[in-house]
Amino acid sequence: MSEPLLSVEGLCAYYGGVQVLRDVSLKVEEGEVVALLGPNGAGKTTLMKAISHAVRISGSVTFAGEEIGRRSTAQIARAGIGHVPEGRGTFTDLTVLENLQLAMSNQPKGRSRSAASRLDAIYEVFPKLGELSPRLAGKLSGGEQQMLAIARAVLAGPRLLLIDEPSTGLAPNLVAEMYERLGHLISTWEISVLIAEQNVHHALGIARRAYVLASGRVALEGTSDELRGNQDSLASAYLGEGSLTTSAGGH
Amino acid sequence: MGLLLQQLVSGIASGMMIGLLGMALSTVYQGTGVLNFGQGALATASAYIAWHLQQTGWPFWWSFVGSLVVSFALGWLIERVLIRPVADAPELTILVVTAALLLGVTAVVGMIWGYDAQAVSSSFGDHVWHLGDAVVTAQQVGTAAAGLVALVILHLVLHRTSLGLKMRASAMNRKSAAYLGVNTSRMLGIGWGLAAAMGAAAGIFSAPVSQLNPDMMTNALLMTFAALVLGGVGSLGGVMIGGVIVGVSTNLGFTYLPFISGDTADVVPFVVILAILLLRPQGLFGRESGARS
Amino acid sequence: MRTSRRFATPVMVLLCVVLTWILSDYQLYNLTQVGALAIVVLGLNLLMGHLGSISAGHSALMGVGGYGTVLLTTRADVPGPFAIVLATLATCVAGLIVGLPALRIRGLSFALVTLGLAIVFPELVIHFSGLTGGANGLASAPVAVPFGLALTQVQWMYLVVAVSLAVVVFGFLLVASSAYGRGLDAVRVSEDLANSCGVSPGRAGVLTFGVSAALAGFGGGLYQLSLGTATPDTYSFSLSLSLVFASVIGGMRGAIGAIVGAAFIIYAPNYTASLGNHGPQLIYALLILAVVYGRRVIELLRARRGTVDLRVDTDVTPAEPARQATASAAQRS
Repeated sequence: MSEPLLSVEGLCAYYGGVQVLRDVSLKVEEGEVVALLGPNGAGKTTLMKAISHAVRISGSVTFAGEEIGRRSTAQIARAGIGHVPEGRGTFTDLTVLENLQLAMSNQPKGRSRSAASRLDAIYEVFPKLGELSPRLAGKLSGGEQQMLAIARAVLAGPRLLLIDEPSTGLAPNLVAEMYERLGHLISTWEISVLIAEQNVHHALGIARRAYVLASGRVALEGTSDELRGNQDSLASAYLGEGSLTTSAGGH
Repeated sequence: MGLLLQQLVSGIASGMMIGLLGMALSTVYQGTGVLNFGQGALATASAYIAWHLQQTGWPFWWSFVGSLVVSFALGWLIERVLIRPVADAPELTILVVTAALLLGVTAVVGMIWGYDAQAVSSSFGDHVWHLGDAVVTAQQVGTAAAGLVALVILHLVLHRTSLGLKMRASAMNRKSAAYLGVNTSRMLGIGWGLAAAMGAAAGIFSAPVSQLNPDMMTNALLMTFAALVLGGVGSLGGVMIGGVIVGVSTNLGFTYLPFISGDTADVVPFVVILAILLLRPQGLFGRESGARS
Repeated sequence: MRTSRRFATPVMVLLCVVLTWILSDYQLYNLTQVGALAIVVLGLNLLMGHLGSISAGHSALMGVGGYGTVLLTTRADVPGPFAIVLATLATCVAGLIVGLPALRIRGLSFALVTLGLAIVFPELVIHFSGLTGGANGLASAPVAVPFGLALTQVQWMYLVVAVSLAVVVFGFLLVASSAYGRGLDAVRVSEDLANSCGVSPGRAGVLTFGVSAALAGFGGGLYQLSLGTATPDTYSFSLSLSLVFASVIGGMRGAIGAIVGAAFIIYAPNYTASLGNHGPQLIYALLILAVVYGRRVIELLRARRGTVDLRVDTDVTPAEPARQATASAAQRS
């Protein structure tokens, strides 16, 4: 009945002259965790970038009732959409603490918890970061950097968090640990999440609903239970069968 | 001995100004990823502006501040109007734009104020000290002090303020900074403005020594680049030290190497650049961080 | 494209030759300079547009060729043509030596080294005034028109340069489309890519710098002969800048671009100087900016062609692939 927090309609995205997303529509309700699945090159990262307007788009992106498709990336972030990019994007020559402080310097409207208490709360979820706080981010391991990237994005106080392929390059045990913390984080802080993930198992474990992208289009959608029960259509969506025109489908 | 001390002192003073201009170059390089060939020309223009204000009756320090403010605005404007449109073009294109800036600004300065050299009086008065045989002028001491003050102020701004943090982050990784809500274009503009202000100070304090002329700071272009390469990108203090080393070694070269004279002044910084790039490319204090990512 | 090019080239060469008797000495003089500089710019294009390196030092290389030629003809009585060949070789060797650091230094750092060369060269020339005549310069032996042909010196130089340019252009086009030329493109796009194709970026860099230097020396020798007296401020840093302007304005690739660029840096300053005393440099700088921005606009429009969207915020940080696509579109044009 209430409006979805994020609503994307007929979204197309372009790298220069190449169209990478075709007519994508999806939505994320307040308080939901939604997964974005699909093989490499399907356009998951591009979709995330499109929502943050870091690529050229056409179509509509509505967030908290407002059309944000024409705003700049920084404006969208300040409106309440956090983005943990593929490859983490930590500031390698800044310390862990500086990375986190940066997040706190741009509070989106309507969030008022004091800076120190927010920082403490983050350290509770990621105690390792507390130990590492004076270290340069570039010297952290992959898993630690991923934690930092997530912590940093959350610290900025977004209503919606976009997480792009967090398990890339992480050993399986680290991935499991990360997802555990993520789950804990989501339940204690009031954030809705859209998470792009190739690892179906973990993604469906944390999300209530999911969309499967293939070749720049939504090939399949449903609740986690539905998708888990329907391995065949999931597989064929991944393999692009019964799908559509070829073409570029860059990340 | 007196001569050595003399050369040391003047080398340190001029080296600090080279270092200050080098810091300006470094700031622009970290933010935009390009070497601004026109930084020296801008600094010269700033020196002329300060001089002009003095000619109309303003006291020196007010002219100084006035020029700094105008230079900041100029730097910001240049980034917005000239650099932004080609920000994502190949490096060479942006280099060409800065080279055109060099020509254009030098030409405008010459047009407005003429091409003849102007003698400018000391910014700090005419007192001299005697250390044995050496004569140390107030200008030299004042310049060195000014360089240190500038370094401290900049360090504080960049490392202890929220604005500075945002600027550094934007320079390191524009996209990630944007994802955190930082207005990276504004940070770029501020960076260029700050660099122009640094250059202004360098130009103003160099004028009494080098004589005000349209090519004043551009003549030191190679030395400034040498300071940047020596100090390394990412460390302001390092660039300052690099400047001092370049200044002092050039002066010592004048004195002790028959090969080096006024004509061949640039051989020393050239050798420095070559040696550092071959032996320790990140400079003495630099980090491996590149420009844009 | 190849057939029409093959047809057009001899026609154009013929046209240039015929001009010898049509144009005045002054006009021919300017064209001679354009031709000599075009040879240098071609070398620069090979280095910058194809390999992807940046050189701010080609004025120094031209200087080696120019001064070398004059020194050989005046102090060693070497006849003109041989002098140029020797000077070209010397410049090539100098280029290979400078290119050796290219194995270790890349990009802007390498540009800095070449910048240093450009700035130091005239200083060294002045310093060694016993050899070079210092700041006053070295008068060159007059160019001898051979076999008693009924041509003025200027006309003869013009013909020499025109034919030399034609030969160099031909060679350039051959090289650019050869396997070596494609290897250069590979290095420019990605050194890893080049390595995986068996092209060593370091070696390609040194070799290309050597070739580029040879062309600079050759063009420099020709340029100097047409000038007469050799002075150090001919080969200043601002000449290097002009050469880079010429290359960028002409598109950094291709022979026509080199000629257009060379023409720009010869004729534009003449034109702006005629506009009055103080304006010229400024207008020249503005012209350069206009061309650069104009090209940029065209690049951007081309990259966008064939797609729907018109709504883009100017504050947006574009995605990585778009930037590369634009850059390689620029290189291809």
